[in-house]
Amino acid sequence: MAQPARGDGLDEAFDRALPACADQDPRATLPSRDGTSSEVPCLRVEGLTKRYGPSVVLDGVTLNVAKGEVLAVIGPSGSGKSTLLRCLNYLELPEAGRVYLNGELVGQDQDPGGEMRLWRAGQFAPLRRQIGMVFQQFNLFPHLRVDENIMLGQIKALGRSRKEAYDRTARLLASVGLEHKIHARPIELSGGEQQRVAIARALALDPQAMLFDEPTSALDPEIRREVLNVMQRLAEQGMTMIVVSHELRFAERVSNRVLFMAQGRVQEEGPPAQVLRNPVNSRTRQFIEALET
Amino acid sequence: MFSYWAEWLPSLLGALVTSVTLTAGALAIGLPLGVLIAITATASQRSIRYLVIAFVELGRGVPALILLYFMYFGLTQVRIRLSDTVAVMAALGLNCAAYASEIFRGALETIPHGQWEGARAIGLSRRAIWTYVILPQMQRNAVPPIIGLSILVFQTTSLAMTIGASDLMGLAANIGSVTFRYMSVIMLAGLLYAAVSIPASQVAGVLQRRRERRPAQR
Amino acid sequence: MNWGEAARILALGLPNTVVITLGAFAIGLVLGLPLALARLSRWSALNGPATIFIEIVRGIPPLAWIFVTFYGVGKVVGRLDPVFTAIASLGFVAIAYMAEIYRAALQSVSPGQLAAGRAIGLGDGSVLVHILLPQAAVLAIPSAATYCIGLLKESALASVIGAGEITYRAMLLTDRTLHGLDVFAIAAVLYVALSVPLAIFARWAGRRFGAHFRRRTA
Repeated sequence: MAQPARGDGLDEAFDRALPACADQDPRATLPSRDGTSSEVPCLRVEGLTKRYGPSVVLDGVTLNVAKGEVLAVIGPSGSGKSTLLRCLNYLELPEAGRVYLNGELVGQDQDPGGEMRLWRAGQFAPLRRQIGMVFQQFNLFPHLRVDENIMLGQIKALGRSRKEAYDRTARLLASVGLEHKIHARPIELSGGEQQRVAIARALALDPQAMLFDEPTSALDPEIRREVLNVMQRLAEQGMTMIVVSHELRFAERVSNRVLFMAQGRVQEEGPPAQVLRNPVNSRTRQFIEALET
Repeated sequence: MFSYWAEWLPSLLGALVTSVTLTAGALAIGLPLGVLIAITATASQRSIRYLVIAFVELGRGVPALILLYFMYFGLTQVRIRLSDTVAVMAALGLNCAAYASEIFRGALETIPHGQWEGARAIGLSRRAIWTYVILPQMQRNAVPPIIGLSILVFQTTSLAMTIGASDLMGLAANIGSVTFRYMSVIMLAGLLYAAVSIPASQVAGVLQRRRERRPAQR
Repeated sequence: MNWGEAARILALGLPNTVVITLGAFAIGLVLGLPLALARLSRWSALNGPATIFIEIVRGIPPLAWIFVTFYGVGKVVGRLDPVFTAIASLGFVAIAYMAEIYRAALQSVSPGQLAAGRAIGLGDGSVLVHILLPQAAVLAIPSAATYCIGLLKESALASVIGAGEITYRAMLLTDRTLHGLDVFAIAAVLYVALSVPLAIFARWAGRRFGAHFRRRTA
């Protein structure tokens, strides 16, 4: 039977698998606390704009995420947080704006005339491989077993051998405390377990950065921690992360910077202690007060 | 091939009216019967429910052509002679009732249980609950598939030709047997069927999408 | 009238009924998929013609397609075998209906699956083959089974061009015995007996797979 997924047991499993994961992606650089370091940011977004019909969902969003930095994005629903993430890996196509990965313009070609020249639909796949994404609804492939879910991208997108992919899968599952579920079907897993598998699936492609789109919103409060623990470990290993979430305590403890969005714009950003404890913007204050009560 | 079409078109249009009339007759029998069956299927007695299921499965499992032959050729064995019009309407009506009852049953299932409780709580009678609460709500879920079913019934009226009726297909086959231009005249008849079916299914599609955009309950 | 003897005679048509049904179904099963993909394609050069084809084929009654094939094509290439004609023309219609079934199934796969497939860096072709189609195939099972029952009943239309299946034999036997009531009742029982396993399978498959992969309605 499944072991009860307790936080402490999970930490142990993660610790055991930690070296295996860490040497995949050694990072020399320290996370910059405010994202304004002079080195090239891992992810840079400039003037990102997205409309659905008449409504403007993203209104010229600009932000930088340094290598190894954890950026928490908070804001009311409909503020454009999820759309921001989905535009970063071009799951949705922005109307204007630029995305840079390690200083390189991605998803579109430079155009001296200022016109936006998006890549063709078939060209985004290699880019998306470099940016991992975790969804609110997990989106595991229900017709595939856990190992097949994690191996699919490795084999079809990265061209790894089955053996290589399987070994990596086993190590990753151990690191999220689910090695005993390797042959399970997604439907046999709890929500928290499904989300941990989804994280492993994204990590299997050795992404440069990870995007988390409300990863715990669909989970019962008591099992959110098992997912948050995995995310915290990942942050501690130096993974570059953007986390859209309502988990303010997680944001305060784990993130380097918090960004508050409303009406498609960045309203306020700064160190967690400042934005969460002493917001300057009145809208931020209202939002945080409403969440905390 | 097209030079004859102008010559045939007026009489085929007349036959199209016959086909539409047959459709209307079948629907006039089938739809009320379908509602009745769907309501009966909610009965608490198990024996009644099984009887209803048996009827529905028969109506859906037996080819419309067999039903039609049964009505037209079969009943003469017990000295009942139905005219071709009545036989078609009766056979397709029964067939339609079986399908319609499933559509209505499906629409019924989408109505939350709370609607019944709410209606009972304000003291409505069983009859009043059906009339004022349940049936009006069923309507919105049932209309698009009922249009689809009506198109199907309309196309199935083409079977009338097999018992010698002069519906659209029957007349086309007649013209074909006289002129030996089967292919041409049946294509024209087919296009006339399509000229009715396709717009109707577009309407059903629009209604369906409109319904999906506004879900009944959150 | 000896019922056992009558049933035996009608059952001689059973193989042809099954062959026509399964033959036409197989054609629809295989060729419906590329048509569905064309219909869903972003390129209007593909989805336009596919949509028009589907609408016209479904807008014209199957009986008309059978006649057009039998008399029209038959006129060009010489007399066609009735069973072959029935398989070809019902199969032709089945392509359009199965395409719509596949399309509905593909569209009811949760949109998050496409996003997740793309997010792990798969190209759209890989997402289709490894993620969407396996799920859509399972989602399509109940509707496909229901459609197969529909084809079973439409196979009766083949009797009109003299294919020796159940309905044709029932006609012959009625002509000989004038016991149409009994004969068509027996034929009805045969069709229901054939459709019941399919119907049970369809209902079971609907329950078994329906909830699994379906689009979440938030």
